[in-house]
Amino acid sequence: MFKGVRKWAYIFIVPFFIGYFVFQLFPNLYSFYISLMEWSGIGEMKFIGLKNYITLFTTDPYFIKSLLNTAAIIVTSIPLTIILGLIVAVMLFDEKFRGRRFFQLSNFLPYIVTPVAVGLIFNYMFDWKAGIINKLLINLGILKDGIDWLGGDLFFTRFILVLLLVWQNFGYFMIMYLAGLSSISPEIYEAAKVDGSSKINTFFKITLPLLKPVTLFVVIISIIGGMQLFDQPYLLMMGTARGLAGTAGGPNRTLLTVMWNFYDTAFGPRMNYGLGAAITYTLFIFIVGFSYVGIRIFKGRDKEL
Amino acid sequence: MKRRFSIATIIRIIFLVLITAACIFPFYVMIIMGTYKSEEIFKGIPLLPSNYLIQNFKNVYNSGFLRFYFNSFYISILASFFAVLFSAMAGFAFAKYKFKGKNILFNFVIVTLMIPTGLGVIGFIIEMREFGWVNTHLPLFMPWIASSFGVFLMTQFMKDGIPSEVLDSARIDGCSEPRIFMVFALNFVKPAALTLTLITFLQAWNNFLVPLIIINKQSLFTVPIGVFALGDLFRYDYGAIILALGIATIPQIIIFTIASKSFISGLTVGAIKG
Repeated sequence: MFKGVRKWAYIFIVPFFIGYFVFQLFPNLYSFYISLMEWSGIGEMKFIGLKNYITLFTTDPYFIKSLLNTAAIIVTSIPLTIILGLIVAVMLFDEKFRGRRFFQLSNFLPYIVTPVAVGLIFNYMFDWKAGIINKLLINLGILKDGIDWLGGDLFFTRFILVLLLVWQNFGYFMIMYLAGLSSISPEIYEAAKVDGSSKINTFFKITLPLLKPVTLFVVIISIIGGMQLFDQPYLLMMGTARGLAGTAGGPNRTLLTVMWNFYDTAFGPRMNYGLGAAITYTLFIFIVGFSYVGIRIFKGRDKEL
Repeated sequence: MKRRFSIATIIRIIFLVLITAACIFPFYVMIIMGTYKSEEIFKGIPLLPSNYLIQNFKNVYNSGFLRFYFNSFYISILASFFAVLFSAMAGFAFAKYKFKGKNILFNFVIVTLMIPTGLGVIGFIIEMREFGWVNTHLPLFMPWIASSFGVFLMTQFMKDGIPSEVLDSARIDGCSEPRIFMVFALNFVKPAALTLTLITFLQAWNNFLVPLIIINKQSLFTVPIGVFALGDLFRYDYGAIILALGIATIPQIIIFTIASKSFISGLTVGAIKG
């Protein structure tokens, strides 16, 4: 209709695609190339095929551990976050409830704060000797001696990280569920009421299934984010008492996540870029796999979702 | 006769108050601890403010921590500016023009949304070394030229948000395409632009892994790197460390509290539309 207009469409999209190529596509492909090499970042690269990938699953001491750690952290934190986020959202979803905005905002605050800072705050709070949590528990007479929360104990230390993640993310889930709840037509509830459905029955039979798309969305987002977890465990364990002497993953490597192991492998003393790149690519495959499993679990048998 | 508060309401309020207290408690403790002298912090249980705030603030100020604040601030502003400008341009083309390859290219954008950012870190770092961008801030804001989420958001908004008749009548009046974009497109999507600004700002601000690898000059530190380096900056001055931690978080909380409506509308756009 208008001459020369189409040309401008291309001009408008070109910067994005150039930027995408330079800062994402090329680095991604280049990383894959490096993952096939034996390379320390300096000197000659040597092509070794899939050997780095094989190393990860056979002789590498930490990769499998880091993968299991990450999976354990995700599998425990995501359901807890969903439950808490959903409960709070349902409690707040009431136009007449006057405190709604206040509660909504304050529960959302932890999500806004820089993950690095959150890791450090929890590091201070759960410090064995000086942390306020142990002091409170002792003063209240609940504990006799402080618990060494971050000392590398499999249960306690993971518990703190899971607590941190639930604390930080449930507000985000709550926001998502609130948006989902408000998109459900009130007429459906009216109809259920007329049919004599109890509140609890309505929740499980109507509300929950209608919220499935939201649940699916937050689960996928959490898997992608959770698999790449690094900032919070890193600061939680390293805190301010850092130093090169610190073990990656903290004592017993309890919180060694895949991305922490990646950072340590490529940019720590091992300086193994080839293996590092192989870690990120393997992680990518696991993310795709886990997301697929997540979708299958939540979609269940109905296909239309 | 109905009671004013049912038991369910009371349980609900108690539960919400407890949850909210748990959300705020860490921030509260942090602020309070920032008012203590280092030697005093670990003696008792710091639940009431002390009198050492000014001195702690002086120590934080003298360490150059506020410099990191400035760095993070301008990096995040530039990142947001790039994301909004280039996403709006691409989104405008996808929403309001017909051109060859449009569907394929837009589907490509959707696919890129799902690729995790950590995938290409090594390639990105090597590339930055080749560019000579190590120990500069360029790797922290330039990549935001290409925000897939931004393009997605802008395309969605512009499809319904800009009436095509307005664009056509502007064209009849002899308005050039760049001018149409600047005058009409940007004007119609101000709310979406604000949302994208907030989300990008937060992501750029929180970025930790890349600056951790790329920046090792103290004057170039961003806030997350500064938080990580607090132990080196203040040695055993815990009062100053915790106040710096508070300074690193509180203003961010305030900004996003004020702008929470726009921010939240951006977060929920993907989930509800599926």
